Amino acid sequence: MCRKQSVSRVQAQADFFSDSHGNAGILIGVMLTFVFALLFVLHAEMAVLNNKSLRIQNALDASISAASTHMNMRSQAIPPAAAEERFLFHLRANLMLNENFTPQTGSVASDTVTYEFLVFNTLSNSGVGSRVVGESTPTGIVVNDPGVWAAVTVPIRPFFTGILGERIEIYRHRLVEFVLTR
Amino acid sequence: MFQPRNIILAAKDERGGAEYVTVVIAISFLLFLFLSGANNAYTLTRHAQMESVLRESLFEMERQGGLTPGIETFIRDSLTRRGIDNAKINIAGTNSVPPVEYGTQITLTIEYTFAARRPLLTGLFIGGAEDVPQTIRVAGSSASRFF
Repeated sequence: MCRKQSVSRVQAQADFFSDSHGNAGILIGVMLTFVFALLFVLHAEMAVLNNKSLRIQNALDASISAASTHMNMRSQAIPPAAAEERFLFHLRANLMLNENFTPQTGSVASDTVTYEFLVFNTLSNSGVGSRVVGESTPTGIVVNDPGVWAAVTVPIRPFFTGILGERIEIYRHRLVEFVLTR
Repeated sequence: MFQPRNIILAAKDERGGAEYVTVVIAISFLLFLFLSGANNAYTLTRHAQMESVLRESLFEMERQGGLTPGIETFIRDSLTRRGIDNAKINIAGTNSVPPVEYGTQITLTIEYTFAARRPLLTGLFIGGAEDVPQTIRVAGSSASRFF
C-alpha cells in the first residue's frame, strides 16, 4: 500500500516536470512580470526625483529671498559680497550642507553642491562683483531691474543605480528683481 | 469553479502544475512590489504636500516677522484638509513676538509622525504586515522682511 503511494507520488512529480505542452506560457509570464516590475520601479524613481527637485527649488527660493533682503531701498543697490554671504548661509541651512557644501545626514544631495550667484545693479551702483542691469543671466533671462540671481547644481544618487547610473545632477535657478518706478 | 472536484481534477492534471506555481509566485512578487511601493508613494505624497505648505508658510513668516498663531492655524488647516491627522503634526518656528528684525534669520520646521504599514515576506509569499513608526520632517530657513 505504502509502496503504491510512493510510486504514485513519483509519477505525479514526473508529470509535473515533463509537461508535453511546452513552457512558452510560463516563460512569457515570467518575462512580463519582470517588465512590469521594471516599469513600476522606474516610475517610482521618477516620483522620488521629482520630489527631490521640488525640495531643491524650495530651498533655493527661500535662500535667494533671504539674500534679496540686502537691497538698500534708498540707494536701490545690492552689496554683492553681503548678499552672497547671506544666500550661502541659508542655502546651507535649507539643503543641509556643511561649510564646504558637502551633504550632511538627511540632505537630498549625495555629493558636493555647486552654485552660481550674481547681483545685478543699475549702472550708477554697479561695482566690484555685480553686473549691470540690462545684461542677461547665464540662463538667458534679461534682467531689467536690480536683483539677484542664483543657480544650484545638486548631485543625487538614484535608488536604482544599475538603471539610471551612479549620479544624477539636478539644476535649478531663480531670479528676484526689484521693479523700480520709471 | 472552485468546487472540490475541480481542484482534485486540477491536481490530477497530467500536464503538471507548473503554470499554477508560476502564477502564484508572480502574483505574490508583484503584490509585494505594489504594497511596498504604495507605502513609499504615501510617504512621498505627504512629503510633497508638507513641502508645499512649508513654502507658503515660510514666505508668510518673512512678511510677518515670525511664526504667528494665524500661520500655525494655516499650516494645521492645510495639512488636515489633505488628510493628515492634526494631533500628529508638530510645528516649530521662530516666534513672532516680538517680530524678527528685517534681514534676520527665521526658521520653520514641520513634522508628521505616523505608523507606516509594511508587508513582510515569508519565503516567496507575503506573510503579514508590520507597523513601522515614521517621521516626515520638512524645514526651511529664510530672512525676515518685516519692518
